[in-house]
Amino acid sequence: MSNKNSKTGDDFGKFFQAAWFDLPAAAAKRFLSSDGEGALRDAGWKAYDAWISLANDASNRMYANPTFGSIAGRGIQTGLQVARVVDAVASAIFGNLWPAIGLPTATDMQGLRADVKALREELRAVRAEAESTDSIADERHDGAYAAARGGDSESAAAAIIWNGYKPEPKRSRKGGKKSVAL
Amino acid sequence: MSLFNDVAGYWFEGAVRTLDAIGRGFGSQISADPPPVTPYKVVYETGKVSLRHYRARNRIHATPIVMVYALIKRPFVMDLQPGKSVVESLLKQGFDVYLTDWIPPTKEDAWRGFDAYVNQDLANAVRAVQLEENVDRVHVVGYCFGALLSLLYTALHPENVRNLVTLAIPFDMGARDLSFYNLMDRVDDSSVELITKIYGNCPAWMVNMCFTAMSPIHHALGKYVGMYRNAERDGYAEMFELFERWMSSDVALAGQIFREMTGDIFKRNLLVKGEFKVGGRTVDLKNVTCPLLNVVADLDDVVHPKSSLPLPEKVGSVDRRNLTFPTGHIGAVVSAGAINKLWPEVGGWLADRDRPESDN
Repeated sequence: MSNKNSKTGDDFGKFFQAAWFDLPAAAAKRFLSSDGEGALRDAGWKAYDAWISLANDASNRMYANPTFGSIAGRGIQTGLQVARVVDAVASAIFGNLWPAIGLPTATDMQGLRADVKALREELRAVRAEAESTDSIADERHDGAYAAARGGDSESAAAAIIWNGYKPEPKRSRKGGKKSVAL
Repeated sequence: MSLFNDVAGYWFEGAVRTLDAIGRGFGSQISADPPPVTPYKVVYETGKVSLRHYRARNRIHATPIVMVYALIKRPFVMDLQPGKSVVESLLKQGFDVYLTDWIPPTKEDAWRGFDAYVNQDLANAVRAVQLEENVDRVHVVGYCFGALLSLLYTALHPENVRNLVTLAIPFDMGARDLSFYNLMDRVDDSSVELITKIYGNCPAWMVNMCFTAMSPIHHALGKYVGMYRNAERDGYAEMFELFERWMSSDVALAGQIFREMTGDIFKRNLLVKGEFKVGGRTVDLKNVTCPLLNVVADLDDVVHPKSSLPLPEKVGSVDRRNLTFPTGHIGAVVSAGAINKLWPEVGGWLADRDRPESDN
């Protein structure tokens, strides 16, 4: 404790000297001559450092104070109890009462968003699969067709498989485009 | 006038950064980490640990280092910037380094205590290194909370550790030289129970609040004025930015380990008394028989030096000592002095004991 007191006294002494002697002296020097800028800055920082040291010391003393400690401890406990009650009330309201009046909860919304996201991904995957299947089929067909026509020996296997069928160009889906009878 | 404008500007940026950190849940999103300075490969992942392997270009030492990082912040501070990286320093000294990257716990992980972290995750990670490297033992280097996990692991699994280095370890919590500890004493067990009842784990914002409360003047004003005073220094602004990012990378602490840490270790000091149990087994520090280097930061204002210094007296090792270094808690891993002097000394100590005959 005596160490703490002597440190505080030391800090206070430094601050007092910096704020009441060094700083005014440097300010006067700056006022009287134009080359006192550096000294004024140094004195200012010295005062600031001493003040910071004092402020740190004050906060440490506050933490060590039993009265502050017990108030802070009680404050934390009360805050947590309030948080618990708020938590319980919120879960009661949003868990049962909220859906009862037909409004979705945040969890419902998150669930829906996740479902939509999953569906989108599924759709994207299906589309990608369909496109790749189409392109493979087209490539095979074109290869076989060319081999059969040209008698390419390397594609003999393809020529055997090709049966002369050539698919029609894809038609647009029914209802996809409305036609008008004239 | 520039002083007030600049400091106000830095303060505003700091406030935005804090709000952003609150918005993303502090360090719970691993993707928010800055890009790594030293390349690594994730070699193993289990439970709540992911193990990074940093490979030395010119490996000299046979035994790899398993670096155990704290649970409450992201580990990128160990590899912050080129030239200011502990990992880089050890690699240059010819060690292969494995770093634990603890995965933030979710509400479902509230059951996780020291048993899960030490006897499962850390034990599995060390086993993975043994298999990967084909070695019987590893060097274990722990920092802060990670040093505590390392000590417990070494006491419970001494056969796997060749050398142990503890850095800024919160060991003897009977020391009450930091005023913040006195404040923590006033938070009773029922409050801790309430926290775990409401949130499951100790939330990241609460961890952050504790760090801020340890030095409120520094966080409210001092660091911004420091930024103004050092703005002209080469690389200071980048370092400040990275450092602030790390300061707001707090990670939630799993409910059970939070309970054990605050009650059994912090308040009742059971580890020092020899009564602390992990997984039903009492931790006997006399089981730690490998060489021990206990690194203590002289100016540490997070873990007071007095709570780290008694460790060597309590272990069973013959080769044991304290190494004090004039730096702060975080300076021990990021300051130029620590990178240039402390870590080469730690590396040298490990290198001298990298021979199988040094087994105890």
